[in-house]
Amino acid sequence: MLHRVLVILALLVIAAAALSARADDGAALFARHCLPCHGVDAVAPVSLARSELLRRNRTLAELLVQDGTMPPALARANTHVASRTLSSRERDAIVAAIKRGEVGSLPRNERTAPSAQAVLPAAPWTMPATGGARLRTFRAPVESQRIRGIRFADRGALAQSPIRFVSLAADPRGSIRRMEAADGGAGIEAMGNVGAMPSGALGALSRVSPEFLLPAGFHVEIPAGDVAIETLCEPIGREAAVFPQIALIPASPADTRAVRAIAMPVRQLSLEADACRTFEVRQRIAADAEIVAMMVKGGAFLRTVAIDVAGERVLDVPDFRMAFNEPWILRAPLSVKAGSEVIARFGFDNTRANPQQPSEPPLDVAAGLPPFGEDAIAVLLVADAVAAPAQPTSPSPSASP
Amino acid sequence: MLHSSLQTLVAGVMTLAVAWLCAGCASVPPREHAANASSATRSVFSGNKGELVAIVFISSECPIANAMMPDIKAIASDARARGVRFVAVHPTSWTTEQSVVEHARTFGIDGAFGVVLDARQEIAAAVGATVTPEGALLRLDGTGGFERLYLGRVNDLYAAIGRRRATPTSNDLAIAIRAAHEGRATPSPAPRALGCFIEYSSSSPSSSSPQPR
Repeated sequence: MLHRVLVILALLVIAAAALSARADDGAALFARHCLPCHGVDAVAPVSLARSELLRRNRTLAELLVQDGTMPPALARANTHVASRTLSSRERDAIVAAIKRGEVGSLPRNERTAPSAQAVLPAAPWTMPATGGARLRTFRAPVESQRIRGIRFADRGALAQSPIRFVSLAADPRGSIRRMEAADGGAGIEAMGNVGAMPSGALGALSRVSPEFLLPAGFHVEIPAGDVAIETLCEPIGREAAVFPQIALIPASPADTRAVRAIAMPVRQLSLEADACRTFEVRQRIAADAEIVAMMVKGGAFLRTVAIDVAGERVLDVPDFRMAFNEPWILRAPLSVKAGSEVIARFGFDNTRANPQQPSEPPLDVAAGLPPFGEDAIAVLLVADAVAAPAQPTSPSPSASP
Repeated sequence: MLHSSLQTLVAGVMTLAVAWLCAGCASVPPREHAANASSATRSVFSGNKGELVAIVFISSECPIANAMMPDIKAIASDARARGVRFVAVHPTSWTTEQSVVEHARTFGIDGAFGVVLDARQEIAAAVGATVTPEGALLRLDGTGGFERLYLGRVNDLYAAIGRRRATPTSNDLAIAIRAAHEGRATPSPAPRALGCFIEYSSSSPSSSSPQPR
């Protein structure tokens, strides 16, 4: 009898320990995967920083974690691109933590972020309360410098901001400044490409990815002049100021390798009503190089993106949505030989089945600005390959004694 | 794929939730606890027999509800022009009167239509609301009860979380209001609302006695 009681007690202790471990896992996973955006200083519009706040949104949070919408992960994980996609076990553990109202706490960030200088547009622009997404390009003066990355300088303001995606390009000759002066407003309604320099050449940010940091050893060169800050915004139901404040993260002396941008825009884009269409953009790499990062921009009609490098799928976005867009810094720089081909495939949907279709019935769509025009581009950030170290030569016979 | 799975999940849960809340309901008799109901609840359900009342459930913290405020304002204006009473309801126990006023001012709806704080969630439970934003259209019976003509999405501005259209292509609540006002049948089944779930507190009427019956 005593033996049986002991066995039952032992089983109960084991079960309690297992449950406790699982509970800890769930809260820790919630903290790791949810709190970076939904915690204190949240960039997401819904805060889950405390148990009380989590309880207000418990059902929605459970559903979105369970079906994989959260945490947002547009790209499929592969050997080159990391993804926030969770396993079903991780999702179950987080949902269990949500049910218990446990938010956990964020581990202290071990990495000390370099100090950063903020660049600010001259004035904010007012986003209308309603209508479609809008693209606004601002400019801000900047000194010549090398940076390793960028981040939002006013992270806390993002939660209630219309800003969804920001990409930067150098504008040393002040072309955006001149257009802004002619327009008379704060910023201009245009893309932020500067000549052949695509917007994104200096990095990109979004609410999903509020910091863009190149791998150690790499930098981007900014010439003196202006930076063009292309800003994609969505209405939030009230007029709201759009004032992208971007902090430039300086490069260290060890970040010696310069990164440059390769633009792969969809040209002559046109979408017939009630039709889907895929555009293929090809680019040959001129010299041995390493691809460090990739980004894709598109509007309401862009549904899928795939980028192949030398025949290998590097980026695969099966369900593009601009509100969750982000730049992708590759897990490791990807070596590409001179002559290798990069192929970007952009799938567009101008049918009623597109959940962001703005017209009923669908209308023909031409290249242009959102919400009723469409444009798409892939931007690769690449560095020249490092020359292989010279092979040690065998001693010359003449040199021998 | 994510989108469709989200829709399926939301649809499933919404269907179950609404089915549970509204099991067998077509019309709602005066509630037994009407004497104990808050003045806000009484004011929404009080009126002449046959009077139409449109309700939109909103939340100051729901980005989808907030994004729809200009649309909701336009629907309210159209409803009032047809003689249909329009009320926005915050079915949230944690919201204060002050934050309701502040929210109305921020989104430019103060004075545009009545805004009610339903902290005890009586109105939401009685109507069977599960989401913000969600629209309802009621025909009052003159004794504190009502017939629910519509409960569903306000419009299709959002197809999913993170999927906002430039403009809605289907204004479902407005269509229902017009239909009822003109004596026609309202759309059935009503398109499901998408947004932030209403978290009923354990003391709310929904947990003790699902309403409407």
